[in-house]
Amino acid sequence: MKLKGRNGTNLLELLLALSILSGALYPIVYIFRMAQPVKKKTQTEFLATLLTHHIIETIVASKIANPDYLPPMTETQPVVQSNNAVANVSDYFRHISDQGETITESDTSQLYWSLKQFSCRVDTYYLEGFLYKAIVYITYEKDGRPMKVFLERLLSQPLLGESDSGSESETAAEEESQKQ
Amino acid sequence: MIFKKGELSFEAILGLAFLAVFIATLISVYQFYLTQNPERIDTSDVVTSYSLVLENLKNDVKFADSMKIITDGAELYENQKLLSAYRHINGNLYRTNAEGKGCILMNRLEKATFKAHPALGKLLMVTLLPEDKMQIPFFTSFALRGGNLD
Repeated sequence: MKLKGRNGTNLLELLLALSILSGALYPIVYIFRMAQPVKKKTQTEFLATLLTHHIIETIVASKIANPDYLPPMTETQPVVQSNNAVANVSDYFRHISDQGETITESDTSQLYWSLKQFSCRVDTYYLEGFLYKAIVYITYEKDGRPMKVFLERLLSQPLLGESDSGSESETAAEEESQKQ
Repeated sequence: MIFKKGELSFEAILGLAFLAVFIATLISVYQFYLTQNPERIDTSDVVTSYSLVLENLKNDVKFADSMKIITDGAELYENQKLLSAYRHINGNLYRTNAEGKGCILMNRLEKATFKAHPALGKLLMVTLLPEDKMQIPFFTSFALRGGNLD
């Protein structure tokens, strides 16, 4: 190698070169970060969003069928029926299977295994202005960390005359449960 | 303090630094070009197709007040007039509007199931299973609001 032993550099020069390199890389890293595409939802996050959407729409359909309907608060429940699971499948995920009441392993395996990782929970609150808020959480694990996607909806409380349609406020977010 | 002589000269290190910066610049420019052309990023992504199906159905159920489940899909009606129809034909999911104009929302679908909730008549449940088993399925529901945009 021609360079070897001819114009060798000392430690001071090496540090100087590294500092120049670091300084030169800073604007490049800045441009690189700016040019990064907008973060797209992962497939798991998207599927979780679809499930929250399913529950919200079920609540809306229930409200259309019965204007006095208000969704009850639920604890965390699975969305599919596992063979050895004790917990009951959420009511929102009953009557959705072609072969039975809930989705089981004997159903379309692609659907079962995709949904098996999710659990759902509904929190409800009475608000001022005769409003009722339902927050739907879908939880799952990602790289060992608990994640959740939620949607919320405002409903009008019953027995308040004619304004049964309610107002809607839906937001979605994903965050670590531990941040709470 | 004793300074040990290295393998490369100062000029060679600067040359390598310049090369690294040049390559990083090229990558950044290419990435910026991709962001300006989002359709070129990943057109085969199933989430993109699902989002299209989701948006179309969301828009239709705002006005639809009834539905009819057919063998290969579902039809949505507004005041007894056909609003749109979704059909799964030859692995493609088609949407046709009231005028009969159609478009493909998604392809490479193995199965598409449209069914009404047995207890809630105005809840359309949609399940889409892609041919590629490694991709996620699509499962969600849509309440027929019939113009009642609460």
